Amino acid sequence: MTAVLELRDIKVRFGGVKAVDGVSLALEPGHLHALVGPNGSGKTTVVNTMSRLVTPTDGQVFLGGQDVTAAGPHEVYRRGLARTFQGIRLVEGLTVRENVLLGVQELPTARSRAGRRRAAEAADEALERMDVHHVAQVAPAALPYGVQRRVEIARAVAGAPKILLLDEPVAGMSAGERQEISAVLGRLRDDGMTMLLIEHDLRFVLGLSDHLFVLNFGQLLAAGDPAATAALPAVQEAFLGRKHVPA
Amino acid sequence: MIDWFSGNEGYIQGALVAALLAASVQVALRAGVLSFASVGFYGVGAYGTGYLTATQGWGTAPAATVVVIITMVLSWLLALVLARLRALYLAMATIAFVLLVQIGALAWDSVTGGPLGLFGIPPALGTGGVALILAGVLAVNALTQRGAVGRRLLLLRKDEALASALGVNVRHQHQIAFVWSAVLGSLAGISQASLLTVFTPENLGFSVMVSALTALVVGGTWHWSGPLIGGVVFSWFLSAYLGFASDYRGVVEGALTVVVLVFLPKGLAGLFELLDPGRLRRAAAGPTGGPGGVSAGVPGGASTGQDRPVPAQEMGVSS
Ligand SMILES: Nc1ncnc2c1ncn2[C@@H]1O[C@H](COP(=O)(O)OP(=O)(O)O)[C@@H](O)[C@H]1O
Ligand SMILES: [Mg+2]
Repeated sequence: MTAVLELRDIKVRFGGVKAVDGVSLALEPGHLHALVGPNGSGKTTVVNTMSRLVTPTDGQVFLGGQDVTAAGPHEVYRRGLARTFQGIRLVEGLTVRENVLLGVQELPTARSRAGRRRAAEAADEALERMDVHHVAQVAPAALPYGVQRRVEIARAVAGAPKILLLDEPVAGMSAGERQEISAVLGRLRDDGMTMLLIEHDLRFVLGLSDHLFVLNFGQLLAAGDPAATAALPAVQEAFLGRKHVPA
Repeated sequence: MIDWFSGNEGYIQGALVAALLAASVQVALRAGVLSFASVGFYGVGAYGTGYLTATQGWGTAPAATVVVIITMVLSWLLALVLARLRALYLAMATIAFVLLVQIGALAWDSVTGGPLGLFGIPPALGTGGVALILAGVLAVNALTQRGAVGRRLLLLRKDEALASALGVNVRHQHQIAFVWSAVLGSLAGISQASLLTVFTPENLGFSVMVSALTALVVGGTWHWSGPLIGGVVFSWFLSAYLGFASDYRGVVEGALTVVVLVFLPKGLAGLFELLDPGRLRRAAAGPTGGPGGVSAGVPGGASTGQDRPVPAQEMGVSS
């Protein structure tokens, strides 16, 4: 199997901080991968590197076999890499539906009149799939946190991406909301979406993911089958022994 | 009616030009670019048309066409040079460009007439012509505030990193906005030169920039009608009732600006939204990111990610 997305020996330095220190990993088509690690271990920086918001100090990013290390974030988005952010990033002043339209309107397929109509249909479909169609005309700021998160995921999947990166989508959620999001992710996986789920809570991803990456101090500590990887002493120590990484 | 018009024509002309210039600043700002280059291109427009018509004997239409094309080329090149600069650094660089144009106006005697300026510019456009130009410009700005383009502009203005992550080529959009802004600045200059029939370095002072900005802020920086409202209030009403050179004028302008900024952050155009039962009011209804009864049961004391400012590492856009 060829990887849909691949990082080769990625290093990202911010001044003196080695946020990511030589990470290589590959995402397999149709799998739900989880990337876990304590706070500050470099998870967000890995996602930012993949989505090209951060340029690595060293190393390469491959999307569908092509080197995109020098490409812009808008280019990888148009080539099928979508993401959500750790904090909710919905645009105030737009309704829920208009926010989801933002996910389809910049795609090359939405240029023609017919393309624009299909894009709007795709947005409405995504609203239904994420079960937020009943709030389509509402201002997102007025909605509960869990619903806002589903609107963001609807925006990310509306353009039918090949890869979806989710940066801590359930952080700060109630048990019920977490359950809803994990059901949503399960449905997306059943549809064949390649995903990378970032999470700092190892337990949440165990029953959900096909493949686990563990990050610590900017380095891959372990990778492989979720249950087996989580049971490794080094992983247990990273999660239970030391909670915080000195910056 | 005719008496009223002739009594007010000078003020109306001032309002039209001020609205064009304010619209020029606005179209850059609404795409997230803070640029003062408008005033520089105002100078390019005025001197360019003045030189081609008064000195070279061209007709106003071909002169204006050539000047707009020169403006587009010049602003595109300037946009390429300034593309690396962000926010305040970009604003500073555009002020430097304005200073350069002002110096050029004084020094390049053979084209600009130096300190004396240019005389005998044909009054071909007239109040009606300039009003027509403004109407066309505002129509384009109103249309681009709707639909997909309007959504893209709002996204650009509110969250650049998100815009790029949703497929918007941010740099390219900024360049387009910069060029459109330059064209509007140039049109303001072309109009002013044709209305005054005279253009001197004094018409290109620091005060032009200040009036355009205050008119925009008071009128409203987002809504397409903001520049028109600001132009009418500043260059017409204040001038008509206080006189062009009244001692009180600066005080009234300052006070009005502060009152609007404090009570109407969206400018006088924001008043429309209060009357509009449509989506804008709904969209303004709630506070940002209200967590709906979230329990913070997060192991490891991690940040919950809600209601917090966007962390620096998520903002950093490389290009
Ligand atoms: N833009 C930035 N500037 C400086 N330091 C940064 C920046 N982004 C991340 N860091 C640092 O890099 C490290 C990894 O951060 P991050 O990728 O956000 O970790 P995580 O998402 O796992 O919590 C942290 O020490 C953080 O402080
Ligand atoms: Mg993070």
